[in-house]
Amino acid sequence: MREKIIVGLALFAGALLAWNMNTIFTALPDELNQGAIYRIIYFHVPANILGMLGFGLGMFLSIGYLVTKDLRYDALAASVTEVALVFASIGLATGSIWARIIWGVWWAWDVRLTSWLVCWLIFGGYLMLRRAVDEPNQRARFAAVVSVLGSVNAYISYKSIEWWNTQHPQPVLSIRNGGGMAQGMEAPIWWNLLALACFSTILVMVRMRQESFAREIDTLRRMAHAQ
Amino acid sequence: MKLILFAGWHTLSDLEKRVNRNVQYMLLGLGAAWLIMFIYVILITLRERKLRKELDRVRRMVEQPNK
Repeated sequence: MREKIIVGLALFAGALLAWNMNTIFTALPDELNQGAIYRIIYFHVPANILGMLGFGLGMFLSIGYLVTKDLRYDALAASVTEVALVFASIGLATGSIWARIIWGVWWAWDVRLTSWLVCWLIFGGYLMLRRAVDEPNQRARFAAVVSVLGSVNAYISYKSIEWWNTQHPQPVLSIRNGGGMAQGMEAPIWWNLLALACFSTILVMVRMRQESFAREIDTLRRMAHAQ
Repeated sequence: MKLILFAGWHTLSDLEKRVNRNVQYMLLGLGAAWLIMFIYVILITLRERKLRKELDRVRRMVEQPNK
């Protein structure tokens, strides 16, 4: 059943991404001030949204583990956080390349960029911590605390463009009352978000299966040592 | 007249360069996004293969402890 869901989601995400790429490159005109480079927004924004949502979901799952001590919450939190980190990396890389053209620099130490980089480093540390601690319950407890702290930082990063005057633009999406884009230009962002969300769901499902393999290996090793 | 023509040509050339650079960086950005996803998919596939092998090995070890 899981395999069928993965294949179905992959086909849907692939078709949607192909249709989106066609719209982005052939149907949409260049932006008046930025030219062609603005098209990076169709990956930059969905990737960052998925990164932030993933870190947030990871935090709730981590709290779920801390409350129930059920290791399945921890496994799901680790899977979601790892995939979210991949999307956060895409957000940072695409943002930096976009900034090189629009701001003339690869990086600016403003609140949004710096807080998001700190967030990326915290969750990178989260994954390293998981590799460093062998005992499953201890690993889950430490990782849950890091996840909660990192997610607070992710929320600060999300709100930073409203709370402070940053080099990074203020909200442009209509959902955040930005209104900075024509409707025809905004819609492909949401379609790409849907496609990438399907893709990230596949990745999380595969990672969950790997977590269950790792748990089974751990159990069998203990049995082998006990024999 | 020659000066005006030269200035116009010069500006057009600069504009072309800017547009080309703009397109190059757009492709670089989109390429980077796909590349990061591609690398992660490769890494996750390799990890899956390694885990399956390890699981088979440990299963055999438990089923036939003397071998």
